[in-house]
Amino acid sequence: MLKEFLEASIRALVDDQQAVSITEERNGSMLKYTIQVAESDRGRVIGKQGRIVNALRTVAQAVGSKNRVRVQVIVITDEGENGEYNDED
Amino acid sequence: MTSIEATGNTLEEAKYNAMQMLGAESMAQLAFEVLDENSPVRVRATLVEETGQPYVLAPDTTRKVADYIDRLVKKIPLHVQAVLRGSHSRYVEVELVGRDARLLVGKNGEVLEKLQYLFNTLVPKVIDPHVRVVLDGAGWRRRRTERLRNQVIAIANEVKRRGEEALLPPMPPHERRIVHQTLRDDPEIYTYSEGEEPNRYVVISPRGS
Repeated sequence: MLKEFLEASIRALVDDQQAVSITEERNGSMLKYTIQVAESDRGRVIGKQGRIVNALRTVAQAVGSKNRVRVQVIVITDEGENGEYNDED
Repeated sequence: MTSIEATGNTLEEAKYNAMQMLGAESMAQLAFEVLDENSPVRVRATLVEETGQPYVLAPDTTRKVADYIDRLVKKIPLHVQAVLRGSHSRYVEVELVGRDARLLVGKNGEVLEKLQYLFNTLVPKVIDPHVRVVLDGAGWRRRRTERLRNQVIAIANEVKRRGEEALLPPMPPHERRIVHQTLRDDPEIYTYSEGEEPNRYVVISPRGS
């Protein structure tokens, strides 16, 4: 599953394994993955100029295009409102 | 063994260009042979390990890299698997094959380039920090490389005929590397790169001009 691909990729990147959680929400033809990581790992998951999260998003959308589903991937951190990083397209 | 020829206005600059072309992180990874001391300075650079030996990955590393990528792509709900295609110096060539492989190539290789970037972040962390992955999908990169080589050879012939330099369009580092490698054994031509990323481009120049 796509969630497992995202999870394996994220876990290889972060220091704080405990803080990683990924949720999948389906809403009609929309599929949304929310990746939560420790605030200290946020940069590792997003990457320089967003290149890591963009790569994950592109793979997710390639899968979505086959199944005619719109896929969204967002990254949030454990620091509540302030630490929330929402960089959806 | 990966070895290229580079030029620059000064020895320093030629060495720096060589480092960029080989994708090395430091001068310590390169061995230099000065071919021409007069400006433009020409050097031959070879990628070596700190020990002075050409860079070689441990024998089981290439297999580990391919297996890791295969396990990862099999988690994607598509009909895709990863196969080992070969390796040279620190580069491991892996190709995505299967019915859905073209979905992971995308328009103009857009998806493939991003996936290659992702694997080049993951693999050095998980398997070996020295490894660089060259990712192909459904033969896309192989065909593109072939086309690029043919175009470059045609342009080089034109350069020889006219005796004038030719400036190629901006290309990413791995494509510039293909251009330099394609022409490195041509005695009538030398190549170098100019400009800043992402607009860095290769110049094909007649020798002795």
